[in-house]
Amino acid sequence: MEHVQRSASSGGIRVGVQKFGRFLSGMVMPNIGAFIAWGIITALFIPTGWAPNSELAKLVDPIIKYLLPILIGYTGGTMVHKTRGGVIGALMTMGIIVGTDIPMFLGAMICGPLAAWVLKRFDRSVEGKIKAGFEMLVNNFSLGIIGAGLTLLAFSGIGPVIEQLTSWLSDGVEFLVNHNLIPLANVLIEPAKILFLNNAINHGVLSPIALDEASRTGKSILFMLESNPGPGIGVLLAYMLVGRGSARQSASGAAIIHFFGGIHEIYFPYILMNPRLILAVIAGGVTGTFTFSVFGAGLVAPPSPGSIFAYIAMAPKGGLLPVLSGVLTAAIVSFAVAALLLKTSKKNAEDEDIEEAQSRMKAMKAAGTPAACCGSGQFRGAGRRRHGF
Amino acid sequence: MRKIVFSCDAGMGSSAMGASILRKRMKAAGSDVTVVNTAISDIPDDADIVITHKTLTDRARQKAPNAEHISIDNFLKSPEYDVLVNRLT
Repeated sequence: MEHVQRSASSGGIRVGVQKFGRFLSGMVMPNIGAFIAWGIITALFIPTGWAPNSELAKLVDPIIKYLLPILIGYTGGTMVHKTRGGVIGALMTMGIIVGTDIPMFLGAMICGPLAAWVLKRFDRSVEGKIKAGFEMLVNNFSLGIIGAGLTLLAFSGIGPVIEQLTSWLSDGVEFLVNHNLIPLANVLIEPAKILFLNNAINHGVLSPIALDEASRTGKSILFMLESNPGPGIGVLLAYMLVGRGSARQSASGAAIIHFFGGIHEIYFPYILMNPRLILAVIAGGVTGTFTFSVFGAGLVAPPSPGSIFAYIAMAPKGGLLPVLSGVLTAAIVSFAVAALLLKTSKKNAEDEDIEEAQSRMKAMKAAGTPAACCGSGQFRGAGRRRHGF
Repeated sequence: MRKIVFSCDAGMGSSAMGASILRKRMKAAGSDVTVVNTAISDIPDDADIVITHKTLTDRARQKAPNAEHISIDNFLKSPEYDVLVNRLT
């Protein structure tokens, strides 16, 4: 709770960044199931897949070129202006898809919300001014006319601009990958993850670029920059072996949820309670990505959630070993650094436990019950405790 | 009847897990409160109590200024869960 108080001044910026990140990732995340379906179909039926089948492989292209961007555009539209926004967002996204030759994920993330915003402005401006009985006529034709205009604009004007942007982005990524500079991205990614920007970075920024790459080359390393479960599992293992107190007890449960369930949020508190450990996940992340990059690892679709099962399922045929080795090296390095840091900061860890114990004591005192607690947190009382001021 | 909303950034990962843990605890204690999980941007208006990780509470507060907000540290085992279970049963 003290934490919330202290961060109140920087809270405005953080809240703003989190909100914008949520806006970007919110367009992608509800559709990940469809990406995974595409990944499965692609991995199975393309000429280099597990069960090549030219008939079924016909599905691959239309799904990535049309369905997936339209889903993103629709979802982005609904976030701004409910179903009407979704419909016009999908429409404008279609304009940009047909206007270019490459999968238009970035375009969809711009056009979907933009079209919905324009329609929302119009709907606001006519609100209450429509004669009774004409609502449906106005609603349908306003969406139709504005939608047609925006679709034409996207087709002829915006598409080429975004195509250029996308090609610059992928050139930049290619440059980083070719010069083995991509591991440096983890120096920024790992700390940002801990601040709950994980989805924003992964699905708001990396996934759309990665999907472009995967649709052209069959796989992308960018899916694995943020979602690698290696760094997190290293820290949790270190807590299990050399940690202390309640953090040590709960680390094994957290490790299972993190590594197999893929919910990375579960390890963030273990780092926030001992911020030096950020060095461990950075070291692990850089090592993991470096390993991916050296072995040419990549996944066919987003591994979401970032579980080891998702990694195995989304690895291309013959590409499993490079993927697993990057997870393993990340875990080893992160574990080694975390164990070292935990051993040399034992005093701090103890302080943390004492603080926790104190706040529990206070909670119990507030309710006026004797501190007769026992076992795994089964204490009573603390009725009117308020949190997080 | 009260409604507890467990909330996180995407409304899919940690909030789903936290809600299922708390729901089980509430049921075991014989309480019939509703525990749901949502993204912070989708917190419903009728939420009485909103639970978020402490780094997300500022944002949840903006979205639902009238609800009571609880910040937690650890999704698996927080003292706040015990406090809530005791309070509502």
